[in-house]
Amino acid sequence: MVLEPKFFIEQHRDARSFSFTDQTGEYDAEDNPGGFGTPNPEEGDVTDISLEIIGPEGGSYAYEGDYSSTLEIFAEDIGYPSTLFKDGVYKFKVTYTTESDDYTSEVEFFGFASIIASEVMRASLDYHPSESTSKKEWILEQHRLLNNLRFSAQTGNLEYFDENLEQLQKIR
Amino acid sequence: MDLVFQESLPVTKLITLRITSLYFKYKSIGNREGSYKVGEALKALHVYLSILEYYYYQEPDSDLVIEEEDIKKIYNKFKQVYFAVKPTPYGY
Repeated sequence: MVLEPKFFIEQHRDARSFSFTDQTGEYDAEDNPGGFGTPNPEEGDVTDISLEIIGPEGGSYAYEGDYSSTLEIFAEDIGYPSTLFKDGVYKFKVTYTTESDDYTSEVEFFGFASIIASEVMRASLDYHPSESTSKKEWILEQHRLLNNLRFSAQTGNLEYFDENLEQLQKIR
Repeated sequence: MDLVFQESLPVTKLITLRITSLYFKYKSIGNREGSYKVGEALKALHVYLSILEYYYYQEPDSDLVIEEEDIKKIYNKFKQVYFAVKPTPYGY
């Protein structure tokens, strides 16, 4: 068997950072053959971690450091050209390094939408049933699109995620 | 900040339940004006609940998009929305 790193990425609401969480789990011949533990390396054998990231604009970024099962990574840690992570779909790949070998994960996709979500929420603070119909509809439409964005991310539909994000950015 | 949320959560639940049941009541008796107003109130509640959820999951040490003051105003709006559709002796 070969160790197969699994992980989860969650962008923080302020768009300045994201958290990395290892989800490799323990080895199980049937359910998790790529997990930590004999015959694979133990989690304690992993010394270093590196992340390869491709942003929605196509730029490539990298993070390297000592292994930890949880990390908080800021834009400046990976040389991202802004303090805020732009909204869109990011590709991630992680490599765990032990004394004897490197183990690389599959490419995983994660949708970032903290900037647009914060704009929608700020705009929503003014919502009141006595507002004009056009303003109410504008805010409700943003909420519908934000919900769609969440569902597309949950179902792994990258095309709908991009489409909804584009629509949201148009009407803001 | 969590304390404000926790204390006020039952209020939002109660108001949401009351308004939802009002909506069905007006619908069942064919009260168009009443069901329109309650429908508008329900849309407002949907927006306010989304804001509360967003607020709840903000990182407390980061730049906050929604401040505690904003949330106090939202709770106030919950109550306003309810009183605006609460049945009066004259109905709708």
